[in-house]
Amino acid sequence: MEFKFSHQDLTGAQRFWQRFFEILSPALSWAVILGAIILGLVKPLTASVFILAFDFYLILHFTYMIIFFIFIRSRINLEAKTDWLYRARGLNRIYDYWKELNELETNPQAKQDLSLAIHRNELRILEKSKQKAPYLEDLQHLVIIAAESPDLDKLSQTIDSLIRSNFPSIKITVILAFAYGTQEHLRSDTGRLIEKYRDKLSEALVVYCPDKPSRESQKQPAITNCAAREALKYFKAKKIPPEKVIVSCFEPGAKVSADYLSCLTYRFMVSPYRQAACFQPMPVYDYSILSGSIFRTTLNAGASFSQLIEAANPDNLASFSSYSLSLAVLAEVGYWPPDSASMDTAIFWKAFIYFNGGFKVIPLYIGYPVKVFGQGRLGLFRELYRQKQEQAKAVEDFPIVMRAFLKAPRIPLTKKIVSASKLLQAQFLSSIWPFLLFIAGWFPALLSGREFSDAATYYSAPRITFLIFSLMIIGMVMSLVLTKLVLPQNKSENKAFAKITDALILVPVALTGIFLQSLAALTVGTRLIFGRRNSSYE
Amino acid sequence: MLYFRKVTLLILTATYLIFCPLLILFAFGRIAKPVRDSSGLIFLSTNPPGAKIFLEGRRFSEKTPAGLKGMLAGTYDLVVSLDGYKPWRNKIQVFPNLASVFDKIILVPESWKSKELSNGSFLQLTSLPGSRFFILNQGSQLRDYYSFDSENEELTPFIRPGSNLAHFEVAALHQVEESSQVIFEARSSADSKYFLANLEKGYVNIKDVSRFFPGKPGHILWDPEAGDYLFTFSQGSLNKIDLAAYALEENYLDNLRGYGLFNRSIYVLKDINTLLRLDYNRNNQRVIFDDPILGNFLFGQEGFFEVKPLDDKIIFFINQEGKLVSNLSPNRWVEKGVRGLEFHLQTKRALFWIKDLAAVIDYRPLFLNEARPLSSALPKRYTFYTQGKDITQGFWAYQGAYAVLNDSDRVLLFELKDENEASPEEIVKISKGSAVHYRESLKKLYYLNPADNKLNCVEIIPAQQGRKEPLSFKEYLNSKN
Repeated sequence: MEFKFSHQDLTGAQRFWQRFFEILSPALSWAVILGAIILGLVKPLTASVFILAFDFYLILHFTYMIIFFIFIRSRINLEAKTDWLYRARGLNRIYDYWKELNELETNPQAKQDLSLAIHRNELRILEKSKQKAPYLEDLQHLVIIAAESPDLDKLSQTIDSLIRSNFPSIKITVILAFAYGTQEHLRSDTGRLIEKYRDKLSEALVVYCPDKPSRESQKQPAITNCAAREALKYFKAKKIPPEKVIVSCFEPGAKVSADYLSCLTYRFMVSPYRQAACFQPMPVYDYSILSGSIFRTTLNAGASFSQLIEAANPDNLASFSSYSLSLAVLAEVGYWPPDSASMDTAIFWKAFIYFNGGFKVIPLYIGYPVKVFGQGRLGLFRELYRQKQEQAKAVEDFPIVMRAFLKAPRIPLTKKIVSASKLLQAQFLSSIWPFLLFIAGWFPALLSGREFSDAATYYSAPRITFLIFSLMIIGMVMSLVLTKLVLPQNKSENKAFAKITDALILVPVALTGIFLQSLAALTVGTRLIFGRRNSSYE
Repeated sequence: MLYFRKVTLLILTATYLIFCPLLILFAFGRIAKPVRDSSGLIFLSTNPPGAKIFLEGRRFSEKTPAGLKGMLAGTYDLVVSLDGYKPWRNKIQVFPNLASVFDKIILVPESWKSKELSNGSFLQLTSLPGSRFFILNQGSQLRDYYSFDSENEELTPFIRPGSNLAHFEVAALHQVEESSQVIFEARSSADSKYFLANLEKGYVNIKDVSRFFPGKPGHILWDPEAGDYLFTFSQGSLNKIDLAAYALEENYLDNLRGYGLFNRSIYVLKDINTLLRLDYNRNNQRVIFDDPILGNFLFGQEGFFEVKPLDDKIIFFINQEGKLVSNLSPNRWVEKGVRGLEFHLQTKRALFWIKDLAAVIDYRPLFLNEARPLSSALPKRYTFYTQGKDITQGFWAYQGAYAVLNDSDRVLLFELKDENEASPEEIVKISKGSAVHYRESLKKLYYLNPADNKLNCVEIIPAQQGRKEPLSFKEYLNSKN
């Protein structure tokens, strides 16, 4: 469906629905938080019912997440030694490859190899779809690194990690994109950087967004779109079909693991939906690329908690950061929405609407690229809060998606309802759950004994207090477990000591991070209630 | 993987739908109840109603009148509070399968509101206990005397202006509890007469009954229910006056040491210390007790005793020195000084006071089917006030749950909730030595304002709109059934 994924220039009913849906989620969040606190003070017994029901729901929700986090971790560990390129090559000689795989079956140890079993299943799915995998030699990677202005150290880190990758760097095209106002001396430094890497890569390009008075400003989507268009021109000039180009976007400073591009290539090749999907790595940090302290990573993991657990929820999967997709798909859907505050999620929904609900996210079971913060601890908090605010801006997708759903006849109704409710629930829950679990629960827990309606509640007040606090503690422990699952394993020689120090740091820092994210989400949502959008043009 | 996801989601959803309600029910004690079957009940009813209830500092969701069922046995701190009133506090004991009933709680206002009832000032107020009338006088002459009807709040002079009785000086007033008539001795320069004043609504009916008083009587008594019969006692003899027949029967009974009237019977204490009961025609004579030794022990050798039956079994005797004894053990209550004795027939209790002390004699244990826990079957005396200065009057209030005392220059309210000393609540200040009148049916106290001696009244318990009395425990049980 053709739909303008934008909140600009709306009139009439569209404007009304835009505002309605903008207000809905944050208003619900505030209503629940304030309502819970006020109810806890005024009618603690009634509030305790809701708190108990919510806390119990949260614990089961965390249980569900932990199961799948364990699954994700297990799957990542399972695939840790996988030779993705070997599998990718195998796809292009499928008959011989099947023979090799079948021969492997005779090896008793191979029988236990779950990874191979999954791989075989993927091959069968590809065969059933009657599609052939694209040729590995034809595939190219396009890496877009966009920023307002160049930070040469961070750029070098990212490009170095790509070159160290076990995917041939000669098949990687890197395009750096910056705002048009970049100073001349930076432009020359960037040029020198490009030259340094040019011969190690397929191509290294740099583009400065054109200096034109237009709706595209110096903000991120515009710069990235600019890079993508330039890249498309480049590939067309090289007569490389965009269907064979896999686009990935990384932030300057992101370090990509060695297997990342190989894994991405294999997944692209084996998936029948490669031209109607994006590929999302799982939010589990890879220790091998970790260079920050446990404090930084714990804080980051805690702050990314809600986002990560929702991303890991297989039913909710949407793109959120460091994803990849076909350049052809990107061009077909019209690139990233130019006025979107959260381009990472917006592109998914834009494509979802474009393909009438037929666009999906395919998980990559490989470590998540980590951005390293260079500042001191206070700067870390500021930077992290800013980053979480950026991520929370995905709340602006909801009203646009909902307007599209109202107008999209070809998207099945059940899909609309399910997607809309999960989108609303994810945003709503991420902003309220720490407040409800850790703050609002105190009032009925402490005050429910203040009032009673009969002897049963008189004597059961201690029970209510005990249950609320118990669920609170269980919820806290589970959230910390989830945060820990996200973190890489500390491979210190003295494991016991490492575990103790990790645990001591983990609790307060992770909780701080958890609240940082919710606070950011609430801030962004509240601004939206008052019509102050966070996108480029406001 | 898809099936695993769906199954996991289904299991967790089912877990939530099944266990969440159970969790909430468990939290609220609806399952795995923390309260055992053998529990007690606390019932509270206040006047005025609508007060908040706090048990051990925790607020009950209902307001008074309310019952708290299922309370475990034990002691609880209870506070009942209402805006504008002082909080009512008590430490209550709950017993298994029993109800702890507090259905006569008066919430004391922060400040009592009094109402002025007269324009003029008065010298004195004379209470007629149990009657709707009381007497006010502005001077000592008969023309200065008025009766006040508390029902209609009307003031009626005893005599019309210009009456030839106007200048008679009132020397003494005789009254009987719950009677609206008084006998007063009045003197003029030439004469000394006895008058019977019947205080009826709208006028005072005065009769000259001097012919029935040949000499100065030592004691005058009549039955409020049979007002035509009067009895006068003098020097061991009892005279009977029949007002209807206009006849005097001298020496109706003699050789007496005391007498009393109750329930259309006359109780006489013979000089040999035996107590008889007979009707007004001297028939149906019955010996109540005939124990010379006990009688001698109780009454001594001489002196007049007024016989005051609480009921047909419990009889008190009080002499002019204030000695108080009764026919049932323990017989001797107070050796001397008793200034007044008031009965509460429904609860079988007697209120008495001396100058600085007020106490209650409680005969309820004798009438319970089962003895109260940890108590005996003898009547109990408990002193609830020991800080008195000059207690002159006492009244039962609010169906025997409270007592009102006139102590020197103030009127005090006491809650008789247990057998310990009660804290007084000062209702009003009055002139020192002044009397007050309390009307239980109206819950009103009448007094002379010490500042201007005008007649005022204060409602001890405000009238409730829509109901005459707060919900009693019986009504509460009926409503629950």
